[in-house]
Amino acid sequence: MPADAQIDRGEEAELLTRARGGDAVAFGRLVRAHQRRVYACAIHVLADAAEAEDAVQETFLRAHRALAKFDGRAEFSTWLYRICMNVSLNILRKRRRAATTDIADPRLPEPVADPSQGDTDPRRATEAVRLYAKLAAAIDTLSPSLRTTLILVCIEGVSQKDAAETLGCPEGTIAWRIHEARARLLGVLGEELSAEIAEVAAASRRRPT
Amino acid sequence: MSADALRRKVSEALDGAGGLDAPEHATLRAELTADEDSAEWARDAAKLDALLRGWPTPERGEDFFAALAARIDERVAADKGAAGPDLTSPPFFDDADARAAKLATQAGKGVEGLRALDAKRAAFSLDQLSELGGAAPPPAPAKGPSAVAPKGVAKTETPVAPAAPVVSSRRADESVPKDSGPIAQVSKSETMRAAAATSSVSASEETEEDVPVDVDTVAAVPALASSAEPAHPNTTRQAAEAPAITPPAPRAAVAPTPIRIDPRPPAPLRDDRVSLPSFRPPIAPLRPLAQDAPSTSSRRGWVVGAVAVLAAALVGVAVFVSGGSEQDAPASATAVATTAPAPAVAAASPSEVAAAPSQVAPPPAASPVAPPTAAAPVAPESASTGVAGAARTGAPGGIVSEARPSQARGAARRVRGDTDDLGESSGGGGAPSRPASPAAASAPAPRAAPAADPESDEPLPETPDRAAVLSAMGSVRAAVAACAAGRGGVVTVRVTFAGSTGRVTTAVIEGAFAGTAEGSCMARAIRAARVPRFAQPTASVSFPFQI
Repeated sequence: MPADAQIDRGEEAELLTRARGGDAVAFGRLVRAHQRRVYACAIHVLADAAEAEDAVQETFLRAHRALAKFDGRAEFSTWLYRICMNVSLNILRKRRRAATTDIADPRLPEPVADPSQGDTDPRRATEAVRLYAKLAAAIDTLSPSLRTTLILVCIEGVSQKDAAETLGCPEGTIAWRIHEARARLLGVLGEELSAEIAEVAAASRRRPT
Repeated sequence: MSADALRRKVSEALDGAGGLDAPEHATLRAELTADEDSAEWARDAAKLDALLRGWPTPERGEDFFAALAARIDERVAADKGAAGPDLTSPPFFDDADARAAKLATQAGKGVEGLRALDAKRAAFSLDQLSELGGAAPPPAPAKGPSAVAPKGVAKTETPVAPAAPVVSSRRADESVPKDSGPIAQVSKSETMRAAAATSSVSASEETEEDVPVDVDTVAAVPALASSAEPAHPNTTRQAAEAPAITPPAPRAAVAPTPIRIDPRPPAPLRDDRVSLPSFRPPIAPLRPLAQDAPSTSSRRGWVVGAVAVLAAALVGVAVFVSGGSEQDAPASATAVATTAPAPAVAAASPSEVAAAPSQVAPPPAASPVAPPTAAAPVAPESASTGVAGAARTGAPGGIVSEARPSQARGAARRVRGDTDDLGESSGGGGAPSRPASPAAASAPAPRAAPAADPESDEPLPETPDRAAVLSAMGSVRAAVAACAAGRGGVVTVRVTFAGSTGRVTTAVIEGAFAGTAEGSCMARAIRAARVPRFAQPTASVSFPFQI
């Protein structure tokens, strides 16, 4: 990750102040610091690379317009997640009418063994892709509320407190949604979660935090 | 502890630091040993969590993010701050899971939580009712007499509006939590409007803009409104099918009215013509939903209500009296006028043929493009507009000169729908401009839409053929080249088309422009390409552009 993508909270607050004053460079730093997380969130909600890219652009554009409204009580990333969710849900809504499908799911890893990550067995890599394809399909069957909550908390690693702030609901609601989503995914996946596949899961790459 | 409660505890443990293996969950682990099913569920849930947290989403390269940031910088710099919906509020969900989550959260707070939820619903209900009717309604039992009436009784009660105000308000509150901020306020009004609307299409059009509402809001509301109250099957059908039959006045009519008991067996298809007003006993006087202005005093509301009750009672008595003698009649005049366009066509056509024979123009058999004479081009159009005009004016055979069928309103719109088909079918290929006989005129015109789409009759190709792909790519070549900003070379693009639409779903730029702003521009340009529909769900091609 490049150096300009890493900022601490103090620097972020300073950049926000400058960006509110119209400093485009400061806002550009904020974009570079947060765009990866926003993109990852959008791609899991939308499952389409081009749309996720559009969503990221739209998210930061909307954030820039509404920067004066950000009061700093929540994390800036939480605020961005919220905008990203709104933008992504709007895209989903429009896409549902178009009824298009994309078979090339950008959420799925390439079926190539990666020795740098400890994977040396191509068969296992292929199995992992197959499993994640099933998991992605199962996630797509969840309702928007369950799906967005699951993506934020279980995939993106957002805390339940921040997820509650992002989605505008109590933490208890977040916990309930996570439990419900887990139960439904387990119901769909069923026997897929065998011991062998769990090994695949354990060997799969960890998302850098 | 029940299995469900145990699994919920497992979920809570998994959400916490350390997961299920944390020391503080020793008791839970011991409980799991006694419940093998829950223990297996816990193991699977832990595996699932590991899968989700370790999701190996393909990382995009630094070039991609650099280009993306540059593009954002450009857009921010060029942004004029155009007014748009505020997307910084929390997203609003109106799916069943969101409602269940809210209920579960309230239930987690105990009885007081559920009471608070219920009180909130009631408050919202009253708010909405006072907005609608101008007067705070007295506490009302949820069910009218029809809920407990015997089967023969229910058949005589006809709902007068597609969505009953009380039920719609309460249900709308369920789907729109009051504490959801400004977004919920927007959605709430949309929900109320949608619940009152007779068509879900119009409701969905109202929410077309980019607003942070849930994708299921519009779809859920009509379903809730229609399923809010258990009703006789006939009444449900009537509410869906015959909103135009009932006059607007009965929507305000609310008074206990004796229910007519019909000793005869129910006649399901004949109930439409019994246009009795809605008799919902305890509700305060409500004005029609179309009148949105709040009333100035409750007294005025009661006066309006009393007048409406009197009017409704008169209408009801009139229908009651006439209903007995007309019970076996085919349909009332109102029903004919609003629900059956075919007789109107039948009434119009013969007189048109007799009064204006010159309009039956000979078909342009020789040339597909008729010469611009005075009579010939008008003939096909007059066949439809004449009937539509007859329906609008109520005068059989009335010929109107306006040629825009979209201006027709109300019941005439339905007639126009059929007559437009007549016009379309007669206007193209030299067919007679109108049926030769009244009987033929009264026959319902076949819908031309399926036949007009040649693709629906022909089997689709499995994949788009090479020529179609070349044509599609050729159509966007100039736009792609324009994105290169003076740079040259070969750009290979991997394009995925959707079979159902022929549209591009994915365009991935490979090669020198991958991950650059130019590449993003190219991908955007390529998404405009279209191929004819095909049978496979998708088809991917790699196409090289020489720039």
